[in-house]
Amino acid sequence: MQRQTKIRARRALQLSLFCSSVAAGSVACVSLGGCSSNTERIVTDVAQLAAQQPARVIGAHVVGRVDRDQIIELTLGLRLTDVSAVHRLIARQSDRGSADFRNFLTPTQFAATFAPSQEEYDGLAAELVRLGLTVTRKVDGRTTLSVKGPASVVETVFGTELLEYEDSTTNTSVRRVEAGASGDLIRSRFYAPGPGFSLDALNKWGHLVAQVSGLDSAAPWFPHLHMPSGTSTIPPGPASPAALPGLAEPADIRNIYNVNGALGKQGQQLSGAGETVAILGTGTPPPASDLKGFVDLYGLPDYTTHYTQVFVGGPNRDPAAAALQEEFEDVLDADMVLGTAPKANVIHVFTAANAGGLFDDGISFVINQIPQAHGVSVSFGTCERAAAFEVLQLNTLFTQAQAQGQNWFFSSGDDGTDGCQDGSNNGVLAVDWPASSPYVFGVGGTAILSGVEKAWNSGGGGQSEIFPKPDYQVGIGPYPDDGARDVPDIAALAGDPGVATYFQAMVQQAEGTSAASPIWLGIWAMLAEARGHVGLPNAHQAIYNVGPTAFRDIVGGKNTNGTTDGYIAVPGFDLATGWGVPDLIKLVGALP
Amino acid sequence: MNRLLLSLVAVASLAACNDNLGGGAYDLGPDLALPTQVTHVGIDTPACCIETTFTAPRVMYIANPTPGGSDFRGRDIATTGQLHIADAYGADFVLADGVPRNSYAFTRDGRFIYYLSKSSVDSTFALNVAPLSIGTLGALNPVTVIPRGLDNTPLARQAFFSPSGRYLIIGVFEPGIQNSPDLTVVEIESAKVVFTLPNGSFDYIENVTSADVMIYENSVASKTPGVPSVEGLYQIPLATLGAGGTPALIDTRTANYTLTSDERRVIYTKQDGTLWMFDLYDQSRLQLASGIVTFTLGPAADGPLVYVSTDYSVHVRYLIKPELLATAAGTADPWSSFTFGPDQSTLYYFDRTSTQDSVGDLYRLDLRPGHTTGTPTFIDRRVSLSDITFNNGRMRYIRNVNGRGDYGELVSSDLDGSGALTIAEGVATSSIAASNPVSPTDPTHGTSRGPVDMSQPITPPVYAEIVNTIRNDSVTSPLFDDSQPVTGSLGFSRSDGAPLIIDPSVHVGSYRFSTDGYVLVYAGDTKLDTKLKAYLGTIHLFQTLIDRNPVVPVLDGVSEIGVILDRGFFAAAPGATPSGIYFIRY
Repeated sequence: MQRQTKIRARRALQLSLFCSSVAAGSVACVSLGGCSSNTERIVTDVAQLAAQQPARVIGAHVVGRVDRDQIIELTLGLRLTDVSAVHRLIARQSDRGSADFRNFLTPTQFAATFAPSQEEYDGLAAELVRLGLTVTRKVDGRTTLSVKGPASVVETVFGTELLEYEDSTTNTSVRRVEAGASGDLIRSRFYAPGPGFSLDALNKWGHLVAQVSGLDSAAPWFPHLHMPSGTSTIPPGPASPAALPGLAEPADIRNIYNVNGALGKQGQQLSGAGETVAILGTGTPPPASDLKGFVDLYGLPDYTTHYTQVFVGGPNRDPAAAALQEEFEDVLDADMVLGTAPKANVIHVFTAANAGGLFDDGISFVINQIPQAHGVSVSFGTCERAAAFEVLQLNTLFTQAQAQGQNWFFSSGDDGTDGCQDGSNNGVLAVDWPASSPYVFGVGGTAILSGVEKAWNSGGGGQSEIFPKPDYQVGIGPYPDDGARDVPDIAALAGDPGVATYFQAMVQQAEGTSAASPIWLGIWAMLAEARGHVGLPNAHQAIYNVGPTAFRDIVGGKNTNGTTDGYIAVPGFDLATGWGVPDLIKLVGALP
Repeated sequence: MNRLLLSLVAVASLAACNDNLGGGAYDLGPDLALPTQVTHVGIDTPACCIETTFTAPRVMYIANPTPGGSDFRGRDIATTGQLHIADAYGADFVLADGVPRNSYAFTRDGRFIYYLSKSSVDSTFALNVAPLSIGTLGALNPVTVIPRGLDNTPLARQAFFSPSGRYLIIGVFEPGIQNSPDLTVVEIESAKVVFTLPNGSFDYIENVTSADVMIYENSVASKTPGVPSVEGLYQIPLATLGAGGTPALIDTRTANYTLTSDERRVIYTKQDGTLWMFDLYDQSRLQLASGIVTFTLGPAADGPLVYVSTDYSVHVRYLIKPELLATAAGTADPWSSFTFGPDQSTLYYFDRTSTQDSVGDLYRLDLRPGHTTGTPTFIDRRVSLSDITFNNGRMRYIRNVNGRGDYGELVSSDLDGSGALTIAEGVATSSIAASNPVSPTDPTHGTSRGPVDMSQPITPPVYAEIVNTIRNDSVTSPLFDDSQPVTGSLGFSRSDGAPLIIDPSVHVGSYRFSTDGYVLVYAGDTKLDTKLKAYLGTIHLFQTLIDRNPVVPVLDGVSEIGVILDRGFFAAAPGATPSGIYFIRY
């Protein structure tokens, strides 16, 4: 009791849930100052892992070397030349007195300024070819380079041994099993590097490499069935969707947001194919049975080839009641992305704990270890004023993400103008954090009433009391001079009729901006696919530039605190639905 | 009311002996040769959740506790029960029923108690105060200070006393408000609410100086769409409240802030990443830096100030002097904590931190003149963020912490991280207790002992920690006091040598040094009581300065140990016969 300040007990983050081609997952972290390897130990614990080894090797048995001729596909993440310069540029872009004010860079310009030079990029590629690898993809931004080659060559190039592991049945840190065709539980094999790792073989080009993805096949193992402890049966088959008629199903969502007919550069129907996005959640992951039930029921492609679960800190640590809610959230997030962009590579990241884990460890992990994801969705948030102490850290990370071409989407909350979830009594207007961060997209909610999509009355929105108005919002919306960051930026379906999700072996109705944010993530994946798999530089300004023309504007409806009206959805930008809901065909045509 | 003298227990050895202090120090052996008195106080019923005071042998506790849990958002639901106050001499009074655990406290001077009780207005809790008599605890005359609006959580989670002890700053929920309490200031002596900020202002961070100047963040909390609130940092001398004092704005859109050690200046960041210094004396303001992610202050009045820039470089400077050094980009993690070594000659910080595991990779910067190269030195990986200590030119820390952050390898090294020696394996994080036993004084009050300059001789610290740590994964719901289901062997050491295992099974929260450092008290041979949701053990007294077996009074079923003052302490023993609260005098 005798302390000078109160204990800043961190709130568990609230779920925004109302109601009821990098295939391998782990990413090598290469000499970034914090990376070190500890090569002598027998790996029995996460703490003993070398930096490039996936946690799954803990307790697993080495059964041999990977076949010398097995083809390994890798993606090399390259260093930006001057990260601090990126920050300075972003600052100048928002400075009206600067010559760089609103002087946003194209991907090529971005590469020319911050990525390795073309000579270096080509030199690295040539060196990899000289060493026996095949370059499979170069990108305009020169931030990644994809290669493939026989395991023997990969081992030589990266100074490691690729080992074949078999999961141990005694691994109790996380119980992960794989469902075979017959439903039997089988143990799996995967490959992963041994403790050694080096870039010396790349000679003078080695310093360009910041990350190497694909050295192991451990992570794709995770999407399979996570059985409750002591259970050894597969849950019953899918329930009939007819049990809950009228819900917005994946085909409905793609239809209302004009996904059908949206074509890529090669004329292909956009589906997110080849594009990587991430979901950040916490607690217990969706079981394979629910994911399979969802895609089977709605005629979606097999998810197992492009959906990966990654755990930051091991299994769930939250109390059971909270964990159940979090699991439902995680299921909803996955279903919305898989339903909207059925072929996107989805990396679903789970922290072990909500408070103290989700935002700190989870966000850092995704930004630093999954840089190839051009979009990330999070359906958690908290009262903005309760988070003032952490905004600088997270905004710095979000800025780093932007510089990497990665944009974050946060649901704006399900309490209308009552972002602190205090009930309607005091009438204080508040918004959700981090949706209010000027460096992320806050995603609000809509509802379809009598066939018309309007603002959802519970959709989070309003004016930040923490952040001033970012330049991309100056002169925009009903309060162009309010001096405050306005939320949300964009919106998607969150309320009536509810979206169809598949949880605990049955179709369930879900509402909330928890649905809207991952729907947008799916849209974002397809937009990146349409651009040729590159991120969107200065994405906020780009979105605000095309807002009046490339969105389906939502007019009508308003958000409330349950008693008094908040913000009305008016023509153009508003504080209930932002610019409105996606129209993918228009967006593809309008965005750079 | 019961008062039961349970037993008089002899010590393991009655023989006096010379201790190992050297230099003519005193023989402390006979101390525990005296019989230990174990007295049951209060009612005969399971009890828990004790709060004690340094000023008198008095205790508040919960009788017949009902274990709590957590709601679907993971928020704690506190253990509740009947609140009592008792003393070591047989007095016991009931204060209220259905009181959340530890939602009660003695004021810093021990003259009052503040406690929650069920509100008569609604389902929230009321704040009450009762002055305490001097000497034997007499009948209490409580007064309700705040009739409703307090939460069912420990008082420390919703209130704090100002350093002077004159004020209690507490969050009070308006009717119908679920998450955002109002900032409320209670004057201890008058038991009056002297200041209130409505509309959920306690959501922000507050700080009070020793001179009772409150620094706090707040906003106008707009209720009109289109009229935004603007968060700001304010100051108000609490002593002026009765004379019409009003808050003064320091700055707007602030993020974090802290006070210099002399409490003269407020160092704060703004949401735009700038770092500022505000002088509370002359009310002047100075920008110190920009592009800040996080910062910390050293223990001196002028810092040093350490901050991390947006490129994750580390910068060190004194407040009003030029920068001392700057590291390369990408050096620190945005979630790093910082620790200054002895004499502020070294700065320790972390990269690759994990907040949920409370670990990171430990690095060091040399701040000595002529050594400030700005090049960090890697020390160790997966080091506990909260277990770095220093002693006699060396440091101790826990490395290779396991995946859940429960335990690791305790090592001792030179200040630069070299010469690391493993002290013990499986040491529980945050379990290290240290004490510097005070210098023995001449029992005859003669002048032949002790330094002539009357300074306190520095005695080496003694340590206690949990080793061979085990987490009980079968415990899936919170224990009665929210502690972790982590146990292990209790290790004790007087130096950097391997700890002496003095008990095979002790819960992480069940040991404590006496305030004079002479005795380590712990509940040994502990076992989990699933009904009480508590680890229960047998009380042990271990002398820290001589080598003797522990004294074991006849008291088992102990779950908690209160502060140990003047050779006496309270313990909650819900598993004892009779069950309840005990006072142990040794």
